[in-house]
Amino acid sequence: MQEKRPNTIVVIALLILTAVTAFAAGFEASILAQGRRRAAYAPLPPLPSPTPATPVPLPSIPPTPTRPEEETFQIFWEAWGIIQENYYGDLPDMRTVTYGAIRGMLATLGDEYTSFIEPDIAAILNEDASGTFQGIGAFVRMRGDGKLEIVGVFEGSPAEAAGLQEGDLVIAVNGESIVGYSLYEAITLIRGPAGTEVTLTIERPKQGETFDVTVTRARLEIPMVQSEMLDGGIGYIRLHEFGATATEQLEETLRRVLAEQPRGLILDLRDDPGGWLSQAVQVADLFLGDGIILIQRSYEGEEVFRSYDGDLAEDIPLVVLVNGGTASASEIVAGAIQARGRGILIGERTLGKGSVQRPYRLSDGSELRVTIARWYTPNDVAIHGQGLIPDIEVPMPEEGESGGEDPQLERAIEYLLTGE
Amino acid sequence: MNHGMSEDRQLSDRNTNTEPTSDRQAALFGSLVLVLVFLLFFAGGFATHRMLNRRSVVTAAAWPMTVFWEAWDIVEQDFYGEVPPPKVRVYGAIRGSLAVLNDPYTVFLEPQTGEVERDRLSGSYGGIGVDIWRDSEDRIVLNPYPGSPAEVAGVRAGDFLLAVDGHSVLTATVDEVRARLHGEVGTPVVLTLSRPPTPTHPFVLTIVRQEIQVPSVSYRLLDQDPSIGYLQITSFTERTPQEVEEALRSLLDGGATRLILDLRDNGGGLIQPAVDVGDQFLDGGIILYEVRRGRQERAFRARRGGLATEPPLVVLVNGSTASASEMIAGSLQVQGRATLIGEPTYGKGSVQLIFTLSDGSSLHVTSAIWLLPDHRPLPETGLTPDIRVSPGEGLGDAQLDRAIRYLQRGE
Repeated sequence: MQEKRPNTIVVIALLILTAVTAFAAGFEASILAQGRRRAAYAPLPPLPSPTPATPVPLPSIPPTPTRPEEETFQIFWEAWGIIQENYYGDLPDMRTVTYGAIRGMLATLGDEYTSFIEPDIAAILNEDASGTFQGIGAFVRMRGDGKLEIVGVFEGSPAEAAGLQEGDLVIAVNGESIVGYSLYEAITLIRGPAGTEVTLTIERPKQGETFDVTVTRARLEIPMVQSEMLDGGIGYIRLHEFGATATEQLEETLRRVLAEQPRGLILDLRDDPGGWLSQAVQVADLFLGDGIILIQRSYEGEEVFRSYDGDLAEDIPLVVLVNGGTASASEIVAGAIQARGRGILIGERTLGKGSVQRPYRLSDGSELRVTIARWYTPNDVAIHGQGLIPDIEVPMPEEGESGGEDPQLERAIEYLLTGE
Repeated sequence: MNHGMSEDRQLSDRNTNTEPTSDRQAALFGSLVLVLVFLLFFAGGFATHRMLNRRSVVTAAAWPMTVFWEAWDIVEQDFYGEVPPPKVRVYGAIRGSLAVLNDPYTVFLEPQTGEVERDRLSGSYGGIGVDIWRDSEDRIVLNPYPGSPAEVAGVRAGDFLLAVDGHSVLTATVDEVRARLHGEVGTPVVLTLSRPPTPTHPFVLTIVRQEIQVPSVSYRLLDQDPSIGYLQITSFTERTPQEVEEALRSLLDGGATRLILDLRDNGGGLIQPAVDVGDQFLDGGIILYEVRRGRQERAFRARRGGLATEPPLVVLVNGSTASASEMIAGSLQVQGRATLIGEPTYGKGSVQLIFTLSDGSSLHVTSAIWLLPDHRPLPETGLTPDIRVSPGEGLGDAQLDRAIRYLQRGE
């Protein structure tokens, strides 16, 4: 009896043998199962019939439809199942794919102003739109060669204090090369809480030198307004954008300029891409007495935005400079001033963006800007796709041919001085 | 796997702790244990292979697309303007998601366009045999192929098409019209036409669809030198190998001792037909290697017994010689079988598989790259011809003339 009973070693050996065999068999079975499936799409011979292959089941189970649209959406999973199984190149992460899907879905609306903004960029844009930010205080642009160029330094900013100049190239931040980064990636690295330090590696092409500079970040207000007293007693005010502090900054500037008793005022809205609707209304009100600024129509109905008596600059002769870069909130202000006969427009036809977007924060921090309304000038004219036509059209000479002249500004001065 | 291991230990413990009351029971119990162990490890092996093989995981849990549906809902509730139907938006989502791959050859085609594309690649379809285009005044104009059902039924070149099966085509795209004209062989289609120059009252023709074959090969013995056979392939369809075989037989029987293969403006097509065409000119050797992700590369060898492995051969190429045509031209060049004359080729060394999705749309996926017989990838700048000749101006064909001269003088 004793001998016949299987001893422990034999049992264990048998178990191991079984386990190994089973594992191998399972592994092989999976290869077979997948191999069969693949054979249907084996590239050569690639297309056995005009309908070359049947759809691939997803590598894992797609979500069970919980909403009617997901039924329609199954075709998306089908397509991506095939891509995962067959695509030759590297696959992007699924977040990127989702963002691509959102953009593609929005593209079918045929409205270029309904747009999707990824979290990093949304954070910067929102900080900018608030009118203040925490950083070093420089205007930057991304050059074609992937280097970040400083195109301007705010007055009294840490950037200025550190000796940064227009034309400097930022090639690294805290030792991390940013060459080839996107504009917003670069900005994200440079910005940070006020009081903290950031070390920039600067290339200064003029002197052919590269050096490190440490800058202490601060909370800064984005300068949106620029002003100047021109010869002949003309006040000149340029508004760059309609951020959250635009009205406040403009009001302060107007007070200063008007104190010099100018005989006329030029409001330069050229290349001002707009901003907040509320700022457009408040800015327009500074120049307009009682009346309508704009009419907004949406599915929620019609809303009329008004201006009221009692502001700073309701009487002084006024010219607004506009061009093809004058858009949105700028067009609201220029359109109201023109339609109400408060002043004239000089320059070129404006962009023609007569729609209003509402920003929505999505759960992952990205932002969706959706067109929710159209707006109309006080005399109920739609400018969408049309733009505003200046009372006096003055083209700008091609870049390089101008020699620094500004015929539009000159025409505005002439108009204010001569009345025609 | 860890899970499997611990299960196993439990079973073993139980086994050693249990005193079998009889041999039979022990044997039964032992077998049961073995079966369980086998099943567990079988599943483990299966799962392991699946895990190793998976590149990235698409599951509802890992990728719920929450943000997508948030955006979807906001658009439906608040967008001021016309929101297209869900299907259109889903197609948009597919296109947008594929765009992040940054590969111009991985594309999604909606059902109707996909259907026309498949017809084009198959080399034949059920239809009436007409060319269709829109004229400068936006009218759909027809031109029947000689001997086609359309011509037999009375369609004349220049007729305007107003409706198909009673549905107006005024706002349809040319692809949509094509898709409506195509259909199963033997089924009727009703055309409403009007005939210029004095536009007549609309009239109606009923035409039964037949199989329409789109030739991809044309050939002739050259007038300039009848010992040279000229063979032009405009694209590689399923019928191309058969057409090439017929053409070669006819040219060789007719006395051709030298050949010109014209692959100019041939944008490619299906791979297998292209490889089959290569067989006709190569006596063995590698035609190409194909490399797919995560798999062994695969060599495609020329089958012996081609019809034209001996005659001197010139291949004409230009900047629109792409994909499958470059593959053939490249392997003929690398193997020293042919002289390439013309201009550098397009430079597309990737292979797309075409999948039909359940709703009839189709998906082209870049699934492989191919390598030349000397194991080099196709340069992005394309193949460099042995003799570079620009097309020249005027009516002549400077590249063809150069090819003739080369075959006549050997230089």
